[in-house]
Amino acid sequence: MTRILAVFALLMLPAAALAAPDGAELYTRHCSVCHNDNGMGGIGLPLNGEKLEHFSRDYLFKTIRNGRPGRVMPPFVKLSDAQVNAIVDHVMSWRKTKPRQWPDTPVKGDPVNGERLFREKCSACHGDDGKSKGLGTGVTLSRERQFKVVPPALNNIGFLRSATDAWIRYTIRNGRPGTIMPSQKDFGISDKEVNDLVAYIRQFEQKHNERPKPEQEPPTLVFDSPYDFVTTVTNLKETLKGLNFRYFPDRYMEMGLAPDEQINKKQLSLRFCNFSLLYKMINIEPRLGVILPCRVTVVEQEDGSVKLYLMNMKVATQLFNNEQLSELAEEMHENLMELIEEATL
Amino acid sequence: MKTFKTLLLLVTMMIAVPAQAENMLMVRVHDDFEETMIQLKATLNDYGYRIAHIQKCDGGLSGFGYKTDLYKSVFFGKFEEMRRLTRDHPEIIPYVPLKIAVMKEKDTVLLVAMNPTTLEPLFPDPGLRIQFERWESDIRAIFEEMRDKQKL
Repeated sequence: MTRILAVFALLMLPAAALAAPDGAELYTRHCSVCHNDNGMGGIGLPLNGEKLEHFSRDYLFKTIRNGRPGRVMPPFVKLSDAQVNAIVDHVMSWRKTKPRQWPDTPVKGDPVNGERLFREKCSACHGDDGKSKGLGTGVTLSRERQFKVVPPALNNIGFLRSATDAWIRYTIRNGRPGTIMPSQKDFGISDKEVNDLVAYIRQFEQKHNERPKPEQEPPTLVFDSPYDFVTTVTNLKETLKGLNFRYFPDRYMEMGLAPDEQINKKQLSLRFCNFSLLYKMINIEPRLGVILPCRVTVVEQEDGSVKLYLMNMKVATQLFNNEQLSELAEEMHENLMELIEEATL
Repeated sequence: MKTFKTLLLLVTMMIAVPAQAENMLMVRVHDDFEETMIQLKATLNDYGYRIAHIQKCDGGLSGFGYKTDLYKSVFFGKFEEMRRLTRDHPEIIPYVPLKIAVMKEKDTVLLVAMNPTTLEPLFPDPGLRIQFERWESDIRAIFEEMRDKQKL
């Protein structure tokens, strides 16, 4: 028995070796959809070019592991260490210089002075609280953006757990080539002041509070209409007009999936949009199309009563790991509630 | 028999790949937008789905003066499945038909779908769990095919 297992293990060894994680393949599968081929950026930030020369292996490894809570980049917790390392190796292979390692030693500085400097020099891009003033994700591709590359949220716990003090100090000293991030020289600050800034940024970690999970809400909102099917649909359309939504042609839910004579005519989807809000939201989260457009489905029940079904935007938008989007979803939710309230009065 | 089971366990351990439960399923296709739409329609049909309709998000945005690149949402499903689900689980209505957002990004096209299994904790019904997993498996396979087709 032992001999059989030993032979088997030996036979499998070359296969196991061949099955070592392929960084390029893993990058294509898990990263390129956001960061684009060769790290040129898209929904995700660009990873290549001069900027990459600043990254350490450790920073990339921890970034993949921690992600950026609330900032689109998910934590890849189910990849093995070997797989994450293979991705890091692949990304690092685009560098022109040898990777540097940054020490873990904390940088000592005066955070009070650092805060003053931060507000003066950094907050225009990174926000007063380090939350970043850039709306949206990644880089400009198909839509207009305030910043070509969205400045990182320095108060993000994923960033703070990935970046060492020494690396933050190096970045402030040298700036970020390829972005609008200036260097220490451009800022006109001393070495001591750089340390003060690092000490202040590091303090965000202590102030960090996990965003409280929103109260558990149902994914679907269901309302009873006091009116019959036709009146309910008419009321909804009138209210949509009044609330400045543009609505699209009516569609029965099963339309397009079967010949017209077979489809249920008592399930009608009213699709509508507020394009101003949509534009804001899609700039913040380009993938929003997976839950668009806004829709109320009117369904006549067997007993003749009528129910309205809506996606709960507050719940659905949580799937994007994008705090900025979640904030706008609240606004959208209020609009939808107003619609239902008026239409079913 | 025991030896066989041990061998089977060894093989399973050696080839097991950790599953990644992303909220979004995505694929980047290196093709032009129109060709990608044609391929997507064909691939969805191969998996037994019909396209219910295509929402032209780009047209709506441009019509209101907003700058956008090509962007469509493809709604797709299976008639019998849809009828059964909306009858037995009306709470799922806002989430069907399934959707794939198709967006141009420079010279490539991104296809994105919400991962149906992320709905599992929201709709804790064993019947729906199987459905969500089947959808996830189909969308993954469809995206894999889309990725492979571009290489042909």
